[in-house]
Formats: sequence, structure tokens, C-alpha cells
Amino acid sequence: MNAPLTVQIELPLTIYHAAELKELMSDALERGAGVRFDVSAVPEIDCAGVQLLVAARRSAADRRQACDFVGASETVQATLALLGVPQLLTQAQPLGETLAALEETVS
Amino acid sequence: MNLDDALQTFIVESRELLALMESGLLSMRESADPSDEINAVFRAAHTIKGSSGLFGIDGIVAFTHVVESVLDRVRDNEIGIDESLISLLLACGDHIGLLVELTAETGNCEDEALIAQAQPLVEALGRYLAAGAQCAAHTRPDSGLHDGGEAAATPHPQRWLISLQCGEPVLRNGMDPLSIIHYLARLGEVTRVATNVEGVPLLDALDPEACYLAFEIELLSDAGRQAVEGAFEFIREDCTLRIEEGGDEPAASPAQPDAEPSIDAALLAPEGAAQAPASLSSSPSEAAVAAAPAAARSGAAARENKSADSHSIRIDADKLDHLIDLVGELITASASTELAARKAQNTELRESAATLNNLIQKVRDSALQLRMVKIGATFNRFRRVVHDVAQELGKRIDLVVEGEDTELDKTVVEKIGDPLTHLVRNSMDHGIEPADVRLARGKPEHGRLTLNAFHDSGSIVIEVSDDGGGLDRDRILAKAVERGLVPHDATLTDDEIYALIFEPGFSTAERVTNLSGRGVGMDVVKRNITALRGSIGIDSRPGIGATISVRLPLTLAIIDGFQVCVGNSIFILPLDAVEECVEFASGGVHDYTDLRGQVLPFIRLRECFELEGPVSARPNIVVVKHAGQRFGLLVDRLLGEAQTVIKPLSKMFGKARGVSGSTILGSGEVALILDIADLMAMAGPAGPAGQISASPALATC
Repeated sequence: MNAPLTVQIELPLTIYHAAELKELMSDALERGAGVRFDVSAVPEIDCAGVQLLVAARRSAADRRQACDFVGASETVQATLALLGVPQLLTQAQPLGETLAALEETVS
Repeated sequence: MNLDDALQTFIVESRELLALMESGLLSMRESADPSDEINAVFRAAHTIKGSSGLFGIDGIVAFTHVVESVLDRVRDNEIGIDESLISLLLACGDHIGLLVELTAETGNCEDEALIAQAQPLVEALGRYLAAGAQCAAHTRPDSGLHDGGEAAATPHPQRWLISLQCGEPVLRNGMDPLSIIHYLARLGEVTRVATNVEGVPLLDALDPEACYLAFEIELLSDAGRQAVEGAFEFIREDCTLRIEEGGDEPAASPAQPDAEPSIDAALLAPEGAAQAPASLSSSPSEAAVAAAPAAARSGAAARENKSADSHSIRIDADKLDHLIDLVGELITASASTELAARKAQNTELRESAATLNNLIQKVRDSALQLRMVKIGATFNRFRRVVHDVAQELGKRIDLVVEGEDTELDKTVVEKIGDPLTHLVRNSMDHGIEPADVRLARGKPEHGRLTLNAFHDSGSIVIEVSDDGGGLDRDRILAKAVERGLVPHDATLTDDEIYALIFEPGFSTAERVTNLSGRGVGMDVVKRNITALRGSIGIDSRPGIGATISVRLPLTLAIIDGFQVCVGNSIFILPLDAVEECVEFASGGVHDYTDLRGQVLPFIRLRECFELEGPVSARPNIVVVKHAGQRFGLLVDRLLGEAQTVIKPLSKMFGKARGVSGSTILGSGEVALILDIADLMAMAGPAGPAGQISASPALATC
């Protein structure tokens, strides 16, 4: 098993870039080693962005991969907290690693 | 559709709503029971506020909120509607308009000057609110404790439970549920939001622009149900929405247990991860089944709503102009095809060229028809002008609008607004007398201004009439002599005297008012109308009133023309102006002939334009009619009808008399289009009563 890939996302996680980001995330997950998305440069997020995060993590879980979003800015954190889905960020990392660890032990 | 499009829609809709608000305010005065109008105005303001909230345009929200509060009080009969409040609200509508326009240009409306400008309006509105609150306290002693703001209506914030299942197109339509939540936060306190992400599919199956989310929102707010529902106005068609009044205790939301386990199941527990694929694959389809009837329902409702609108579509004006240009080229091309067919002496070809020509004519007519708009909208704008000016002048003036269904070219409509405004102001200022004078003259106290429009032989006539004192012949003449416009011993007819008011630098106002009387305007009006190939006439009766009629061509682009030949030159007359053609028998030197027992004055075009070339042995007279006057044009040969694409003359020929434009013939030659009105004026005294031409000097040729 390869080391998890780190992908930097710099675009706003919004409807404007949703199609582009979907491709980027799909490609990253295609690599098959789990992905760590660095979202520290993401200035904002909207509902389309939230859906992307959820879908990416579902897909990763489906493939038994890890998928984390790290370094979220305060704006992004606040939005996710407002929508009641802060676990998309806060609980992701350890669990993703757990999942990856689990994966490794199985294989 | 992206957000920019949505913002554009917002701006267009806001403009329409503002127009609605304005017309509602203006008709309020005349209405016996204005509650319908008040409601319409309130709804307009409310919708503008709601949608600007969705776009986060706080400037508009804040200002409109105050307006809305006042309107709300008016609706509840806590504030009486009167003249000054209507004027204030009109001014507020204008200010919102400014904010909207600024938003259209820059995307936001943060502007120091505008904020400062809003201050007096907000203060004035505040006085009404305070007065209204006092009044409310008197009429409803039980609410006397709460004497300010909306809190008076609902003392305790209400708990609202909102459940929102977003339809797929929500995001694609430029609406972000997030901004609705932000907007709700402005109505009160959003105490809890649970986002149900159950519907979100795997990345591969995800349409990134479709919306899969559902929300449970708990809101603590003292705004009414209407305000809360209003927040969802833009997405309601695409969503399933449930708004309930909750008790004092926060109720457990059904979405909460659903939403969190779904994430947790997928991501938290390792065994959950194993189960995830199964549960995930089933859930979207379940959601789809559940959502399907709702979508069908909302679709049907949307169709019902839209069936009323489906008869018209909005088209970019540029596209229409482009189409008209192309049709113009097509006409020229078809004319040369027909010419070539004739030369080739091929019957089949000629026939098909003729068919083609017929079709092109129809295409031209329907293309031009597309640009025709009713003048009613332009006329209705004057309700506001009349209202404002009447207030400023302290006169009471009613506006009567007639012929609002008369259609004319969009470009003409756009350009006629300013000259008409000036004519209307002038009639109100100089025409209609103050109330005391009117009463002394035995007239009703309210002055009446009438706007009328009708079609007349290929032109549209717009009349501005007032029931005032009419034009003062002697004063105009005295003024003109004083200004050196006419010699002091000149003998002028009434109509020539009236025409003097269109001379540059002429003003008879005894005092200079804010509105007119600065001596600029009427000459500019005339210049603008002449530039549109139009003319102005005045009909005035002392003590009874005056009518100013503006005569304009129906279209500025393409006309049916009638070709005539003088010497070697071809000229084109607008076919609508041509009455008949008669052979010219008398060889005399008089410039008139006998047309079935009537005297018909005519103009010798050859002499008029100093043309050379062979003289025809059998010249013809084309009888043309303009503004009720009939006269003839002596030409060598008649060539017949032809569609004519008008090409404006360059500025260099701006001073050329008697021609209004040029066109390209099928042969590639250039022909001049004759300006009937100008020719008539050039003929001098034969010109019809009060008709003003491009140049005031009574030239002869």
C-alpha cells in the first residue's frame, strides 16, 4: 500500500468550481492510496462544496480508502459548523487513518 | 444558469417591481379603496427586500426594510396614506432604484454618497413609524407597552421549525440554501441547523451542480410567518418546504438522527464502513422515489404559474437590431437579384425572384413587428412626472392617457421619452393655470393633461393636450420681436407665431421656474424630433387649451418606398405618403394644377434640386399627403414601388433640405429619400397650418 497522497485544493469549494473539483477529487481517489486534501487555501465553501466533501468521503469509504480534509480556514469551519456538519472536518483525520490502518491490517 | 445570471434576473425583476410599486403609489390617490394598491406596493417592497437578502445586498435590505415597515403600518391602517407620504414613498422607490442600478454595475451598493442620500428618507420614514406607533398605542391600549419597531406585534420571539428538502435544480438556478440560512439569521436567531446529507451519492454519480441536501432549521424570530416564508420565495418551486411553529422547548428534529448516523456509519465505525456500500446504494433511490411526487407536484405548479408568461419571451435588443440589419441587407440583395433576373430574360428565374421578393417583404414586416412596442408603458411613466411636477408647481393636475395600445418602433420609443417629458412639463407649467385662475375662469379646479397616440398614414402622432389658457399670441410675438427673431412689422399668421416658441433662445415665461422657462428645451425638443424624421405642430385655442402634436415615422429602418425619376436621378418617396399619380397636362408656369376641380399646389423637383438631364415629354405628378395637407411633386417618370432600406445621411449632408436619407438600389446606385414634411415647408406658405420643418426660415426654391 502506498502512502496517502496529499492534494492541495486552492479553488473555492463552490458551485462555480464544483465540476472541476469533482474531477480533481475523483482523479485523486483513483490513485487508490487514500487522499489527504489540504484545504487551507480554500477561501470559502457553499452547499455545492459541502456535497463534494460528503461525496468524496463516501466514495473513499466505498473503496475503503482514507479521505481527509485538513487545514480548513476559519470561514470554512464556520460554514460547516453552521450547517451542522463540522464532523466532515473534525472527525475525519483520525478516522480516516483508522480506516487506512484497518485496511492495512486486512491486506 | 449561474449566479451572475441570477443576479441579472434579480435586477430585472427589481426594476419591474419598482415600476409596479410606483404605479401602485400613483393610483392610490385616485382609488376609493386603496387597500389593493397598498398591498401591491407592500408586496413589491417585500419581494425586493427578500431577494436582495438572498444575494446578500445588505444596503438594499436595510433601506427597504424601513420602507416595508412603514407600508406594513399603512396596511394595518395605523398610518393614514396622504399626499406627502406618497411622495416620500415615491422618493424611497427611486432610492431603491439607484441602489439596484449600482448593484447592477458594481455588484454591491456600498456607496458613501448614496448612504448619505438615504439618511433624510430614513428619518422621514422614522417619523411615520413613530407616529404610527403612537397611533397604534392609542387605538390598541393593550399594545401600549411595546411602542417601537416590529416587536410590538409579537412580544415573544416565535420558535419556527423549518424543514427544507431541496430539489435538484436549486443550485443550478443560482440559489444557495446557505445564503437562505444566512438570511434567516437576519430575521432572528438560527438556533440549530441539521443538514441531511443522506441524498448525496458517490463522487462518480454526483452531478456537481445538482442539489442533494435537506435541512432542518430551527429559528427563533419575531418576524411573522410571511417573512419566514418569504425567505424561501426563490426556491419554493424547486423544494419541499414545511414551516411549523414550534413550542417553547426545542423539538427534536427527525433529520438529526438520520443525518449524523449516515455520516458516522460511513466514516466513523469500521464495521459501518463495510455496511456503507449497501446502505448508500439503496438510499439515493429511496430518496428519488420519495422526491419524485414532490418534484412532479412542484413542476405542475410551476407550469401553472408560467402558463401566463409563456406567451412572451425576452429577447436581447441587440439581437433584434442585428436581425433588422440582416433583413435590410437581404432586401438590397433581393432587389439586385430581381434586376439580374430581368436582364437575363429568364422567365423561370424572374418568377422565383418575385416569389423570393414577396417572402422577404413578409419577413421584413414580421421582423419590424418584433420591434414594435406599445406606447402605453411610456405614457404611464408620465403619471410620475405629472405627479411630481404638479406637486412642485402647487397645481392639481390629472393625467388622461389615450391610445396606449398604439405601437411604434422600440428605437423611436426610446428616443421620444425626453422630448415628451419636456412637452408635458411645459404644458403643465405654462399651459395649465393655477387653481385660483382656473376657478375665476369657470374651469374645474383640477387641470387636465391628455396624452394621446394614434396612427396616421405611415406615421404615429403623439398629442400632448392641456385644458389651460392656450398660447398667448401677442406675448409670443412681442417676445420674438424683442429677441430680434422677427422684424417688428412682420405680418405672421397665428401658426407662424406659435412656431416661434421652437426657436432657439425663446422663452416667454414671466418668471424662470425650476421646470421650464430657462429658454432651453423647446428648440431642443424640436431638434430631437426632427432628428427622428418627425415634426411638431401646435394647435392652440385661447382660454380653452393647446395641443402639441408630434408626428413620427413608424420605423427608422426600412420602409415601403415609391421610386420616381427626375432627369437622371432616382428619388424615393415613402409609399404611405403617396395618394395617387396623375399625368401632368398643363405646360403653364404656375405651380398649381387642377385635380378633379380642386387646386393642387405642386413642387417641381427638377427646379427644387437644380437637376440636369433629359426632360420627359410626359411628366407626372405624384400626389402626396402629409399632416392633412395634399400637394404634388412634379417628376419625369414613375418607377413604382420598392422596399427601401434607409441609410442615414452622413453629418456632412445634415443641412441638405428636402431629403431625409439615402438607400442603395438593386443596381448598386444610390438614391435619395425625399422628406415630404421638409419639402412642404420649403414650398413656403403652401405648408400646412403650424407644421414646423427642419429649418424655421420660410425658404423658397
